[in-house]
This record gives sequence, C-alpha cells and structure tokens, in this order.
Amino acid sequence: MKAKNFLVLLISMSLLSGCMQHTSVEENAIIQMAGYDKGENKRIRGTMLIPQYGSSESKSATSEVYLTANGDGVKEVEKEIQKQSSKPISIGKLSVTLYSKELAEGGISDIIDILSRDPRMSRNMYLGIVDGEAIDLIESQYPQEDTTYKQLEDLIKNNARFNFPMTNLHDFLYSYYAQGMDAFLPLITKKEANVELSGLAFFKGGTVVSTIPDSNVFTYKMLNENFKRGMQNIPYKDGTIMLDNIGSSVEYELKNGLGEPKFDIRVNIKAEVNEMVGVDREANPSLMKELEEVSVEFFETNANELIQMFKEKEIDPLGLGNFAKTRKRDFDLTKWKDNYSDLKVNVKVNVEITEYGIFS
Amino acid sequence: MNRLNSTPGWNIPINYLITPMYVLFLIHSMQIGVGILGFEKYLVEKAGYDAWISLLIAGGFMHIILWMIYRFLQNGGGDIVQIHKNVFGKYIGWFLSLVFSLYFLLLTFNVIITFTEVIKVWVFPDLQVWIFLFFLLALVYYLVSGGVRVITGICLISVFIGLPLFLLKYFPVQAGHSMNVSPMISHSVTDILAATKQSVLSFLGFEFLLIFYPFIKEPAKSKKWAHFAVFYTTMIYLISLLVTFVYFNEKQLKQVVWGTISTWKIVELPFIERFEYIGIAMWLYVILPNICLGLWGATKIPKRVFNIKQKYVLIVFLLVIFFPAAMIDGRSVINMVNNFSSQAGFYVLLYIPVLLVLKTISDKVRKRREG
Repeated sequence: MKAKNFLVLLISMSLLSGCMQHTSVEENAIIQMAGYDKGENKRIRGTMLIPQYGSSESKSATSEVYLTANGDGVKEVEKEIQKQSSKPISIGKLSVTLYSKELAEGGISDIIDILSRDPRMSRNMYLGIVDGEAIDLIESQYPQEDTTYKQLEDLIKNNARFNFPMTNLHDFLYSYYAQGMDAFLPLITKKEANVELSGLAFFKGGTVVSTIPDSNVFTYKMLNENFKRGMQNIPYKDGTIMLDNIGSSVEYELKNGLGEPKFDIRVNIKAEVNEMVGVDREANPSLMKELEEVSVEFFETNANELIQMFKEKEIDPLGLGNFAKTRKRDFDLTKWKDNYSDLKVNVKVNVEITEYGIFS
Repeated sequence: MNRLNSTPGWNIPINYLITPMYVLFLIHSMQIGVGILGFEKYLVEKAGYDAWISLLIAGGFMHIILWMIYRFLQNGGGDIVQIHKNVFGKYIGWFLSLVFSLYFLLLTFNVIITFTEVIKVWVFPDLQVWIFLFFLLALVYYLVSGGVRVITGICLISVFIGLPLFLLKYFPVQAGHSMNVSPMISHSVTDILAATKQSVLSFLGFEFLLIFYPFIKEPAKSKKWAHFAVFYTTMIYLISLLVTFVYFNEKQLKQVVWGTISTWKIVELPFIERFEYIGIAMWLYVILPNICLGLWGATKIPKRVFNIKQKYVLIVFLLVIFFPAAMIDGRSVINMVNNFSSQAGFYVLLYIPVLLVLKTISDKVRKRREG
C-alpha cells in the first residue's frame, strides 16, 4: 500500500514537472554574437545580434536584429539591451564575441574575467579582435551565409584548420591565466562586401599590444603547434612559389646547463609545391632542393623577426616561459620575465618538399 | 550461521543481509560524492601540480585505516555502538556513538547543501530550494525506510550511472596540455603532506562500514572488496585530478571553484550544446546513495542506543536537515559547513587508530580478568 502511494507520488512528480514554466525558441531573444566597442566616456558599447526565427514557414526568412547599448561593463550592456528587447534575452548560445582593436588596446581584463566566471558561456565560443568597429562588422550582411554569426563562426572555425591557430574561449583563457604565456586572438577585418581574417592580435595580460599581418600567421602557427594544412607563399627569385603544407611539427628544447637558458625550436615541414609563378624552370628534384633552401631561409628569418618582436613587446604567446616552467625545477617567473629580452631562441626549420604535382 | 548473529540484539534475518561483493558499491559510492566536483582547487592550493602524489599517499593511508576498521570489527561483536559499549562502558559509549550519529548527519547535510548550491550556480539560479529538497528528501525517506538492501541497490545503480561520465574525460584531455604535470616533485614534503591531509577528506565515507558491517553476510570475505573499493576510488580521483591538470593551468585551476564540472563545459556533442547540465542532473544519482546511506547510518545509531523505531528517528533527522538546508544561502556559509565537516571527518579518521588501541587494551584486560 505504501509502495503504491509512493508510486503515485513519483508519477505525479514526473508528470507535474511538465507544468514548469517554459519558453520556446521563438519567444526568446537568443544572442548569437556580441561585439564590443569603445563608447563615450570610457564606457563600452555592446552590439548584440539576435536572429529572428519568424513564425512564417519559409526557410529563408531568418532575419537578424541588432541591438546596441552602452554600459560600464558587459553585464550593464546586457541589462541595457534587455530594456530594448521585447523578449527575454538569453546569452547561453553566444558563439562569437568580438572586441574592437581600439577597446582591446585599452585593456579588456574585466571582460575576460566575466567570460571565465559566467557559467552560461560555452567554452567552444570563438573570440576575435576587430580591426575597426565591431558594430560595423556585425551590422552588415554577408552573401555567403544567411546570418552574420554563422559567417563569422564558420570563418574562424574553418581557418583554424588551415593557416590560423585554434582560438576558442578555453584556449584563450588557458593562455591568459597561464604563467609565462600570453594570449592571442585572430584579427578580423571587414572588407567591402565580406569579412576576412587579417592576422593575429597578441595580448599582454588583458591588453592587445601587437598585431601581425596574415602573411606571418603561418610562421607563427608553425612555431606554435603541429598542423597538417595551410599554405605559404615564398618569394623565389623574381616569382613566388606556393608551399602547400601537408604536415608540420614543432619541438621545443630548453638547454640550460649552468648558465642562462637557451631555447631550441625545431620545425619540420613537409610540403608540396603545385604552383610556381614567374619561375621559368622545369620542376625537378634539383629545383626542389633549391626551393627547400629558400623556404628554410624564409621561415627562419620570419620566425626570428617574430620572436624579436615578442621580446621587444615583452610578450610570450608561444609559451616559452610556460615550457621552461615544466622543465626547470627552480623556475622563477619574475626572474624569467626580467631575462626574457635576452633569451636566446634558436629556430631551426627543416622543409621537405615531397611532391610537386602530377605533371612535371 | 555467522557468529555475529548469535550475539544479543543481532539476530538479523538472512533476507536482510547483503553479499560481500556489494561492499564494493556501498563504500565506493559513499566516497564519490559532491567532493569530486571541486576537490582539485584545494589540493592545488597546497601542493600545486604535485598534488597527485598527495592523493596517492592519502589512498594508501585509507587502506591502513580500512584495515584497522576491519581489525576491530572482526572481533568486536557487532557495530560501532557495540564496540563503544564494550570499550567505554554504557554511558560514555552511548555518548560517543551519538557523536558518530551526528557526524553522519552532518556529512549528509553537507552533501545536500553543496549539491543544491551547484544546481543554483550552474543550472537554476532561481531554484526554489525547499521544493527541490522536499521531493529529494521524500525520495530519500522512501529509500532509507526500505532498509540496507534497498540502499545497496541504489549504490549499485549510482555507480553504473556515474561510469559513463568518466568517458567524457576524453574531451578535456584532447583540449589539454599534457606537459603540465612536469616537473614532478617540485614541492616540499610539507606541502605534499598538507595536500595529503586535504585529499584524505575526499575519501571520507567508508566509516559507514562501522554501522553496516553486521549486515554483511560473510564479513571476512568482504574485506578484499572493501579494499578494492578504496583502490577504485583512488583511481577515479586520480584520473579526475590529472584530467583537470592537463586541461587547466595551475593559476587557472586555483581559481576554478568546481574543476570537474568546468571540464564538462568543453564537451561538445551533436545533440547537446552544454553538457554540464546533463552531468549535474546525472550527478544527483551519484549523490543519492550518499544521502541515503548517510541518513541510514545516522538513524541506525539512535535506534541501537535507545531501542526506538528507526522510522521516527528518520523523520526527525529529515526535518532537522530540511529546514536549515532550505534556508542556507550563499557560498560563505556553505564553505563554512564544508570546512567544519572536513575537520570533523579528519578527527573521526584519527579516532579510528585510537579506538583500535583502546579496544586491544580493553580486550587484554578483560581476558586477564576472565582468565
């Protein structure tokens, strides 16, 4: 008898839970993308993109609404935007967040703090720095995709498989908080009718201190991680050749006998060459040998320039300090930072051109 | 059939007994609870990324304590109440047993409020705590009044429901940096031992053996299962700890309040955007045996001491938990209860060797007197 009562209770529990107040997708303003610019008087101006899932059945009818508000912090912007919205806004599906370069150069550590604190934020969210105003970028339509957020999300996601390094919220927060490591984010620029990844922006703490153009991104990625795709054009005599990466791997070694630490970075690139513009020679093994040497030269100079720039700006996006910490028992971060500008980093690149197409 | 059943007051019918193997589930599911959701932070604060050594030391320490428990239970003639009575006499024995009862109640209370906080922070900030608690405790009442066998069943189910969650460690490991753990042993021995003390608290829960021991069918055979349970718990804690080590860096992990839940955030499945909601919901089944066994242990002792019906004690204790738990709010109070119950647990663990020594002496004295 008792068991029966409890059965009734359990069943009513499961049935009555259906009575909980709920809201369907159309009744929510689901923010998919947010951008922050520098507003007036040290405030920030946030722009939120909300796709409208209309009641009409036609599939192509997804339109977007942009809401903009000023506030002292991200939460205040959210509050102000709620005031403009007819539906309750929900931030859980936010998939792209952009910051204008101007804002990021003034420091965004407060915003980064809320990104790591708010449980509603997805760790797979993409972040980016906009060269220009984030609001312009968000409030434009792009022909490739129905919605702007989809355009940007896929843009960053796909390019992480090619020339650009992976940068989701988790990666960003990891390198932001890590000792002896600094964060970086992709730089995004709006072109007339389109939007493109135009480089990388490097952080020192919560402040963007330096950027590199997209022509250097391959070199950075090659120093930063192992990857299997991507392309780099390399000047050769009067023309250029296009190197198709098919497998690049990088290895760090810290040599610190008794004196000052010294880094060896060894990069192995396997590549194919399918295009040679302005090179008036037959593709054969001896030419490839020559091209390998040219590419090694190119990458090493580029890499050394990058590292020189990092030292000058006192940033460490490659995480050399973090690496040293795992290798040195008596690692001292302040001492490391003091000596960072004198750190010897020796980049050794090895390029192997394995194939040159199906036509010789 | 077994000796215990012939001692007065312990005529437990065979259909209430549990087979030795289930001790594995009882102990293991009691040890895994809310602690594992956020224990990493406290260990890392003490010993940095060497804390995994501390965890292993603590695991070894637990085996010793477990051995001690079995040692005095085997010839103690019953449970902790009986032993206390034999060693300290009637009134002091009663008092100490009731302290144990309160300690079990405190553990249960701690689990409940910590888990409600997790729900409030991660899923429903506007949760009406008392409604949730009402249904939860109603379920607990039903299960606890079902007796040891029902609780054992819940433990078994909870272990199997918890298992798939460990497969999800794949996602954070994939996004992780495996270099983080090195260099090994870069902290001083005192740091590592401080973290050992901290990690001992993760293993609290097997003290319930002191209460449910008489319900094991052939207690001697359960020994290996109990040790296996502690070993298994150690491994699960170790894996969880190492996964958060590779997923976060040290400075980050010191600031992450719930390390394990935070690693669920990276899980991306095609049908679910945010896995931590599912994880937390499933975790209710993992903590359910904690609450059930905790309350059962807490109510069993007054029953044994005062010979009153367990049901009445259960209702009183449920009310004792319900009202404060429904009213408590805010992390500072909950942290205070957490710390207090950890301290209490630590002293209970220290008490076990003392009790073993006292019992050995009292047995010797008694033998001499009789001889």
